[in-house]
Amino acid sequence: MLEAREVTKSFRSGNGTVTAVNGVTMTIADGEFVAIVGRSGSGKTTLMNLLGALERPTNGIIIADGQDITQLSPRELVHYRGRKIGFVFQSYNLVPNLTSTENVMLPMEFIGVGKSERRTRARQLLEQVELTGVKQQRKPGRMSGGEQQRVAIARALANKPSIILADEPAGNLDSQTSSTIIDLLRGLSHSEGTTVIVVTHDATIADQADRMLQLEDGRLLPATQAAGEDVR
Amino acid sequence: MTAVGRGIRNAFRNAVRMISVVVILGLAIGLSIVMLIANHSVAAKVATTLSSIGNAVNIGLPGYSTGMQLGKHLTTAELAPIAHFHGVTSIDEILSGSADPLGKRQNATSSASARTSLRPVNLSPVLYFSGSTQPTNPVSIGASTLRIVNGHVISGTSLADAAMVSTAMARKNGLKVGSTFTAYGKTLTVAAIFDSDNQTGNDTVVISLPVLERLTGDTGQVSSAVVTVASLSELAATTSAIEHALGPVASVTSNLAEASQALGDLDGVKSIALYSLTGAVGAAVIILFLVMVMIVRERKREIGILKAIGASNGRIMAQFTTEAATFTLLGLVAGLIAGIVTGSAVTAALVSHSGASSATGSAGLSGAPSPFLGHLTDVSAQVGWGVILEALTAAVVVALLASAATTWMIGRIQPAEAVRSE
Repeated sequence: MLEAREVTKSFRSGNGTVTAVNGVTMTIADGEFVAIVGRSGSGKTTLMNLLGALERPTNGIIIADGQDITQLSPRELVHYRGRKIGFVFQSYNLVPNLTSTENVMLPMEFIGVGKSERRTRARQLLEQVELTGVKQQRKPGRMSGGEQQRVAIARALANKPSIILADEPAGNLDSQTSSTIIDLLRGLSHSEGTTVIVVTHDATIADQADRMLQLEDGRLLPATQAAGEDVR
Repeated sequence: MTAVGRGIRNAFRNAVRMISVVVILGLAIGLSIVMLIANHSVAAKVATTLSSIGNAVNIGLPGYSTGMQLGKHLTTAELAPIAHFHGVTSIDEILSGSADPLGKRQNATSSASARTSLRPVNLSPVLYFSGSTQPTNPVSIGASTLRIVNGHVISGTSLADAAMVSTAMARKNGLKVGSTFTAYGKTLTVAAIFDSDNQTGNDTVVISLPVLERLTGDTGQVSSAVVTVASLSELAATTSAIEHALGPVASVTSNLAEASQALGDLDGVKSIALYSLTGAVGAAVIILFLVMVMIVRERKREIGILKAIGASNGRIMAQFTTEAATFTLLGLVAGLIAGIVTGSAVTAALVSHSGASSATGSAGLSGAPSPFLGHLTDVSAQVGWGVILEALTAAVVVALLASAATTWMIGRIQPAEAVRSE
């Protein structure tokens, strides 16, 4: 379970202070597929960064699987990000001079998985996201956006994280590929019991989530039931 | 692939940049190696020269070389106190004499007794006789080496009419050990045959000091003396003490004094090489530092992403340090090739443009160029394992120093910044 209690994040900007996330409290159950929606500048990405321990909140606490991640040491944060979180970014952010397989192997190397084991798992994950054959040996520059995002999803799954944080995962993709990627994430959420949190401003994607959280000026609006789904 | 593997691969990520960096680094490292070679070569030459100088102080008559004092001598009584000076281990007292060789038309001043049955080796007008208390001292025959090749060394205090002649003179006069010849009206027996590195030495007959004193009638007198001092470090002080004790009656010099100007100039070359070496290594550090700063800034987002997916600072730093080390290693190879190819020429140019070349022509005690300074400018470039090891050490220092700031920058990159910059 992932829980945020009165989480606030402020930044210094010029002479003043900007509060990107303002007193957010929420709870996300294991295996839930949640969409965080809001306008540009509403604090969606900042909230995702806080949940992924990429930065610390100014106030409040975040509890992941019973552990307050705001109190972790830098070394423990590296461990948390490496083992419990999988990130998927809008621009894929693959390492350009590594092949698909090597990109997927990367997070496993960071937690000390042996070379042959991580190569085998990387191939399995790439097959799972329907990238097979020579595409597994291609570098990002020779792949389409959709293929790169599949590699990014496979990389996010590499260390079997309990939470996947996806920031506009279909932002650079056409509608058909976008649908495929969201289906993939949704399927993972349901089949693997992985918590998937998608940050998006696309209503179509948000509609496919189990639950939709709406941010406005850093504040979370009252819970909204996603169309066609039960409220958890 | 490990962090090290990625670091190596990243060094080749951009071929144009890699070649540019390696060429620039290669030039800086090459210059470092050239200067290292020059420094080592000159240092070796200075050390060799110092060791060849020996711990000797030469005592002669003032103006001897110009002939002003011919016929005058120092006395053994004047030299006696020197044996007790601090640092003095021995004194070789030398009396020089000359005799007209066989078949030479006698001039008006030559006495009938100052003749010899020997013929000179090199059409010399006279044959020299050296009476020495240490007959194997090459200085007594104006040479830098004297090696016995046959027979037994005579004693410097012996009263026996025995002599040592050079191989060339023995051949010219059909002498061997045990042969006899006449000089100053006496018959002398050849006790030993020697080799020397000097033409004058080959035309000099070596006998003991008491015998030459008796033959020439100059009892208790010496032409010159060579004082041996315990160590090179005591040479200057002992020279000064002897000079003070003998006053104006003698000219006191050490080879160190003769060599100091030339060696000082070589030390100047060493200093220039050392400063240039430091500058070149500094330039290499700055070049690599700027390149790595550029690379880190360029890959800031990638570093942030690596941190976001679980990489520790240490692992990312290892990757970038390896990349810097790869550049340095390639630069080192290029620099070594450039350095080894040009090292000899640059060293020769540095030495020839220093004052050492003019100093080697300075006159020694006898007016001739000092034998140990003759080849002072003949400095051969020395590219040994020492140079390569020091270059490798310098390269490691370059890589580490350039990486230090880079790793500091990496440590400060926040993964959230990279993600936010999308």
